[in-house]
Amino acid sequence: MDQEPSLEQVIIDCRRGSDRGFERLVDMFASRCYRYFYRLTGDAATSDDLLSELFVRLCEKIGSFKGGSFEKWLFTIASNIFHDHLRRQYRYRRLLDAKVLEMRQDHPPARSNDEAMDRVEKMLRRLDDDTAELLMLRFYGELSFKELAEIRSEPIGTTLSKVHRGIKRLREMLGEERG
Amino acid sequence: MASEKDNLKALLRGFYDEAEADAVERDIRWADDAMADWPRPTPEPQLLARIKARVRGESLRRRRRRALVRALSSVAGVAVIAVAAYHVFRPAPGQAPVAGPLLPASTWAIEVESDARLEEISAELDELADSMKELQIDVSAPDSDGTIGQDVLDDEATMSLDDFWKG
Repeated sequence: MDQEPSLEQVIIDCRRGSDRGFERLVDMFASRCYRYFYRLTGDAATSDDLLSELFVRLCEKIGSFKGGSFEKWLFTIASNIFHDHLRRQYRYRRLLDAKVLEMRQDHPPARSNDEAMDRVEKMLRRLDDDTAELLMLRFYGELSFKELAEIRSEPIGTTLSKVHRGIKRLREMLGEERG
Repeated sequence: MASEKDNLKALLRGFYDEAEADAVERDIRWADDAMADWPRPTPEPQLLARIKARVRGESLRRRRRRALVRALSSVAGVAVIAVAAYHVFRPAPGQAPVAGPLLPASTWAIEVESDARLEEISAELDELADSMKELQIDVSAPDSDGTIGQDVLDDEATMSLDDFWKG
């Protein structure tokens, strides 16, 4: 029977330039990374693009992975890609006039029809960008507080308190919905 | 789940008092469960296939680039060696290349000197041979018993040899 290789083996294969290794890496992490992008952008097409960009960049940078937590390394790249996207979007928005923005609001990008999914997204939209990203890194990246703090280059106490504030805000929003 | 990676209790106790730490821990566990319950958007299989194809293409491009870089490095290495060899073995500026003998001139000088000495020795030997001939003539001359002639010959020969060894 063909045994699934460990993450370490997959990474070694990728570093050797094995196509099969990269395919396995896509299978292992695509869903989690996609959720991270989708929750933050709220747009399927943008998430598709960002996910694709992530794996191409991963292919380029796999040689620079020095060991340690692969998830931390991967989501650091994902976070950089997301921030690049935000910067592009910011520049794009600045170029658009009010009329075009209005049109975009009238015709929002296609999203899932799942009501529950919309609800989560709405709640995340009400959080500030930084907290929303932190929560997504925590729950979809499955990163520990230590790893989160390292990615963000801030003290672990700061990260802990930001995550907790975000969770409390989510709870309040859910309470408001129910109440 | 991320909370499994953290030793949450110990971590939170480092920042909050006991009651507060428990409350924060409860909130974090609630969020873990809520996130697990919330619908999870998943990428379309076609998207995954497209990404795999793109990554394969990228990987192939990188392999080709690496092979090209390796080949160019080899060529550059050979060129560097060739240039270095040219600089090491080329004649000094202003000095025309000389198609001279392979052996150093000093070797030839020694040989020429040896030839001159050889001629000198040969001349001395010829001279010695001539003297011997003359003595032989004397010896073959009619004598009473031939002994005197023999002695003279011996003395002459000894004298000649002494002269020879004295140079």
